[in-house]
Amino acid sequence: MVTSWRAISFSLLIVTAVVLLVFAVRGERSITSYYGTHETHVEDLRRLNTADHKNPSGAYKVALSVAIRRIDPKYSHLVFELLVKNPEVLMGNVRVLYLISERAHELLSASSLVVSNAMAEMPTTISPTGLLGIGVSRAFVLRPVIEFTRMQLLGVIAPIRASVTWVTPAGETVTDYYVFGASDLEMDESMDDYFAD
Amino acid sequence: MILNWDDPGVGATKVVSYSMPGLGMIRQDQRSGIYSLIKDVSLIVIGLKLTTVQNIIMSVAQAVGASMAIDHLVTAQTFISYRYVGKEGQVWTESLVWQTWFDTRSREVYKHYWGTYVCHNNFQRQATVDFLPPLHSWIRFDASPSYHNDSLIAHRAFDNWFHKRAWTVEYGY
Repeated sequence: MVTSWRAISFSLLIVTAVVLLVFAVRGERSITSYYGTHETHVEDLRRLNTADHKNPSGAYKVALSVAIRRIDPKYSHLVFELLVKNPEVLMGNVRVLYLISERAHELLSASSLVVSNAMAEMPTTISPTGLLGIGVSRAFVLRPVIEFTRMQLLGVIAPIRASVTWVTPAGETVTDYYVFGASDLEMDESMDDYFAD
Repeated sequence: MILNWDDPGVGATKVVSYSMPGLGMIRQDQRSGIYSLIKDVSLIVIGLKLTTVQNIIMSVAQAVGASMAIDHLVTAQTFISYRYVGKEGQVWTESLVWQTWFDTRSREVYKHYWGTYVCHNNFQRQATVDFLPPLHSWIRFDASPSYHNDSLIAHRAFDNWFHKRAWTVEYGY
């Protein structure tokens, strides 16, 4: 009887050890709010709404595109992508942040309207000879029961306020601010298909 | 005497809904590596729900609409975020205003995939993809005990007001 209790205890010990080992190996599973751990981004968000929108540095080009990807007959994604491209110099640690107009909540089912690459743990460097650009996107869920026109869509998503922060070859950190109105947005051809339906 | 035509009578009750966003996305899990080596590795979404690196990167590539250059470094992460929804039980009081005497607050849990990869024209693409379940865009609803029962919410508000108790809040999370 004593032997069987010892066997059961030993088995339990082994199972516990295996469970602990599995969680230890999974390692980097850290539960962190990325806004909580990237306080500079909270500051960036505040600046987006208050900054004097200065002229960009001219060392690269930006484009903000909008697409609608139909997932099934009922649901679609509204996809935004801000592309930083054609760098004329080496741009280190490129950080992109943009904020869709709050009125977009009328059409989108989302907990927030922020798009960012703050969650990337490795900094992104682009240059004329290496990576040629970076695209930062978010696919939002369009509310399924609401019908809207292209003009109504553009009316609620714009203006979109954005910032691109990067480090010059001399080590200086530069932040360029942008405001995209409805006419500044590049429409993906998927929009034509969606509204043709 | 000033007549208030909106006056429903002292002790009348009503239920008012509200919502507010959470504080951002909360990372659940992440993997980085060469795509062909890690594509079948599992990531935790929430609780016991799992997905794979391949699922995440494919969702991102589909959303972005740009194909992936094979065997580059990729990163895949899972996130959740919250949206809080609640209902207030209000009573028309002697002050001739609606006052909240009971609040029941629930929480919607959203799931997001985030991934980054290099596409064929040597651009790094990264995207957050909001999830599309069959019926709702949230994947779990942490309902407070009275949330789905408006008459109970009104009753609890009336009870607190009538017995001069404090305004109470109940949570589903």
